[in-house]
Amino acid sequence: MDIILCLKEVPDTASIIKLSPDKKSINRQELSFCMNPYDEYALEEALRIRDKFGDTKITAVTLGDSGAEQVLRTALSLGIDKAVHILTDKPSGELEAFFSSLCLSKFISTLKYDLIFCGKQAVDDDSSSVGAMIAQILNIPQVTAITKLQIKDDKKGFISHKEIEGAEEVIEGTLPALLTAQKGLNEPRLPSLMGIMQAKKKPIEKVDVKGLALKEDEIISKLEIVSMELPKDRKPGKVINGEPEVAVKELIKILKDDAKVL
Amino acid sequence: MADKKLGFVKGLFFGEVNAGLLIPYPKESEEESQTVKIILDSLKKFARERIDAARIDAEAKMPQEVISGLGQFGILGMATPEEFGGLGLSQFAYAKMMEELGKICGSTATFVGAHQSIGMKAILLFGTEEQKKKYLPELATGDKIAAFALTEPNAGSDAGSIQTTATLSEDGSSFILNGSKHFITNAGIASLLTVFAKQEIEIEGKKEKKISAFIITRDIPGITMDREEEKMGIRGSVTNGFRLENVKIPKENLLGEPGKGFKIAMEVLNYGRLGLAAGCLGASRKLLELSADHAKQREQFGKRLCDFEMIKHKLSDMEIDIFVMESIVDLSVKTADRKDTDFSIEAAICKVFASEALWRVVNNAVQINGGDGYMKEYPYERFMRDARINMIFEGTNEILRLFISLDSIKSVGIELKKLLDSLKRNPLAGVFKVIGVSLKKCKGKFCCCEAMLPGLDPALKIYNKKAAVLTKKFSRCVEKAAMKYGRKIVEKEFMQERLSDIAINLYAVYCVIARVQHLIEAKGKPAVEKGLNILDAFFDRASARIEKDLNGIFKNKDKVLNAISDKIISG
Repeated sequence: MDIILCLKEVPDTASIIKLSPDKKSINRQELSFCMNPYDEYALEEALRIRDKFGDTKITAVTLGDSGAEQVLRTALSLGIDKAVHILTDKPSGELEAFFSSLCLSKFISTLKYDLIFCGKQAVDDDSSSVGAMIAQILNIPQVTAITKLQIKDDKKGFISHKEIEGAEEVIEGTLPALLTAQKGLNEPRLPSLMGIMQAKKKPIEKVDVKGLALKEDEIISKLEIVSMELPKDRKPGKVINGEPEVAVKELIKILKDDAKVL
Repeated sequence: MADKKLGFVKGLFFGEVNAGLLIPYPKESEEESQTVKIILDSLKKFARERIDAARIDAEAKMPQEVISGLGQFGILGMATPEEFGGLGLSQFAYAKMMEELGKICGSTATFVGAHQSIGMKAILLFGTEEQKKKYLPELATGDKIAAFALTEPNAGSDAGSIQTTATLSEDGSSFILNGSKHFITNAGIASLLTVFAKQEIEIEGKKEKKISAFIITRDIPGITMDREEEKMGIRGSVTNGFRLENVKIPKENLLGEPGKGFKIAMEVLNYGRLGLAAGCLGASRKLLELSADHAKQREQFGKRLCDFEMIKHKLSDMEIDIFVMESIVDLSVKTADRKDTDFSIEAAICKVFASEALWRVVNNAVQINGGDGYMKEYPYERFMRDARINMIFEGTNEILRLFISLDSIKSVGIELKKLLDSLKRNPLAGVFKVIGVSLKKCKGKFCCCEAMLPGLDPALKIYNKKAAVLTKKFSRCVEKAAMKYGRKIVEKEFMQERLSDIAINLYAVYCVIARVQHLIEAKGKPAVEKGLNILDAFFDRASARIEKDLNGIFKNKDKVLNAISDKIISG
């Protein structure tokens, strides 16, 4: 089986975000980055498929500037077979979803694949659209936000589970297909000492985005970020002590007079 | 041990600034950075889910799954060369890992340090190819744990007076060890112990008892562990004494050259000290993060705590201590990674400064958190209990202060070729007599030195100039003291304390200047406002402290203090 993973480098959730002077992007200078958490579930699932079936090649692709290479190193240390870096001028976080989908699709269409795996969304822009767009462009079936996956023994089909409001949807499909991973799909493993050692020796294939020959109208931005602002600082909560009758009276007073919601 | 170039601090004792060690600022390798990031990310994730520091402390136990986990993703094999199953990473990478561990759990950091910084380090540095092949791979994966056994009930700081003996058997095929060791971290769980014992050696026809290093594995009969110690802090780490009764080891288990055990121990401890300092840095960062959060949330008198100057005073003190620690540790590990320069003094300074800075930081953290800081419900009291040992083990800070000044002064004597003879006859007196006379002649002979660091941003030049002046004053003081007291300088510990504290503060100042310069070059001056403020504030207090100590070398109340102490004892 051939599995393609789409990985994205995103700011660490512990990072403190600051805006750039023009307030249209974030200041990436002081940030630390990591693999998109939802991509980790996709990566882990791919490894489990290989553990089960053997004879499986896993290729990870990432789109971005030089810093994007780190997620590929991590993926290699977890044991994937091939890593490809599509080099762009801008960092991954500043690339539009449609543009990213086009680049990835164009590159993936040159490869053999049975399954394309993405995270359901990237935690920087939360657009949740790249996976679906790639499937659309490549004209293959897709299931998003899966929480359980079973590849059929003949490797020609799959059964996936997906959480919907108050219920669980079970979707059966044929391969090749694109799936996006939701939290709960699995518990990602950590790189092993051996994996890290081996990863140092594996090469990362570099592809220039210009080599993908995108057309002029494909490169132009479809969206314009008008402005960004930081969420307002939340005031610390207030603890109201005392006997229930007294405390409730105090709470009502605060809700009426201070918060003005009653 | 090949001849190494003189370290930065030893140069300071002679008024020389070895700028090449600080500027251009040594950079970490790109390739290594990627591997380090993978390991640190794994460690953070693993720690979040599996390392419960509070529980480890409460139960005074480290779960096996923590040890296995750390081994699995390479934490225990970072410094081991690849050919022996490790990751072959630099001291810089190792320090980054220890820093992260320091944030997470003091017990875990101590366990890893005892295993890797010192337990297996002797084999790594001094082992034969066979010994490395035999022992390192299983230690790198954490399948086997190592411990470093030097201390004895009657030999702590005075490590040279250990009484454990190693006698060559009649047929010369094995060593028989007898004796006991005390307060050894990891001993209870270690499969491999690096043990130091006295061996009879023949030197120039004379028989002398000298310390040698030996590898002892736990499967060998005759080793009895004493009951585990109950400690104030780092309670999750295992500390045992043990007895050796006719422990017979093959002669192949001698580590390094016979009689060179003391040197081996000292060199290994150099690495241990760097790791320890990095751990203190990590713990300090975590404490500041928690304290700042609290100061932002907690309100009294209608204001947030962080709006009050007394709290600002503590927060800024903590930030300054952390920045200085970061600067000296970063530059010292990178000096160690050069492999061609002696870094023993720098390592000692890192350990002394970082352990004392952490103590200050944790004290401030407890205070900022008020009553909460004292309660077991919060982590501060555990951090405090964990922090205290750092000033005691791996060489007490008192011993290290003596080492910093005496070894620096002695080192120069050794460098001067014409002293060799008088050194042999009357070591210290000879050294000091000639130092005074030859100081002026030897300046610049053995270090490439400039008083000013080259290429500094104009904002930093003024600090550099003042530091250069203080350095010259310091070296003249050293010269004067050496000439006045000669060999008696060894007894004058108040003076050693002052000389060492000056050396520590001077080193810190130069490192901070170099680091701020590096940040300015990397990010541009506007982005380095914090660094410049820290340099400003730190330089102010450091230079005052240096001046005070310089004046105190000859004008002080030492006699009075001696009298007060003697009276306590004599009653």
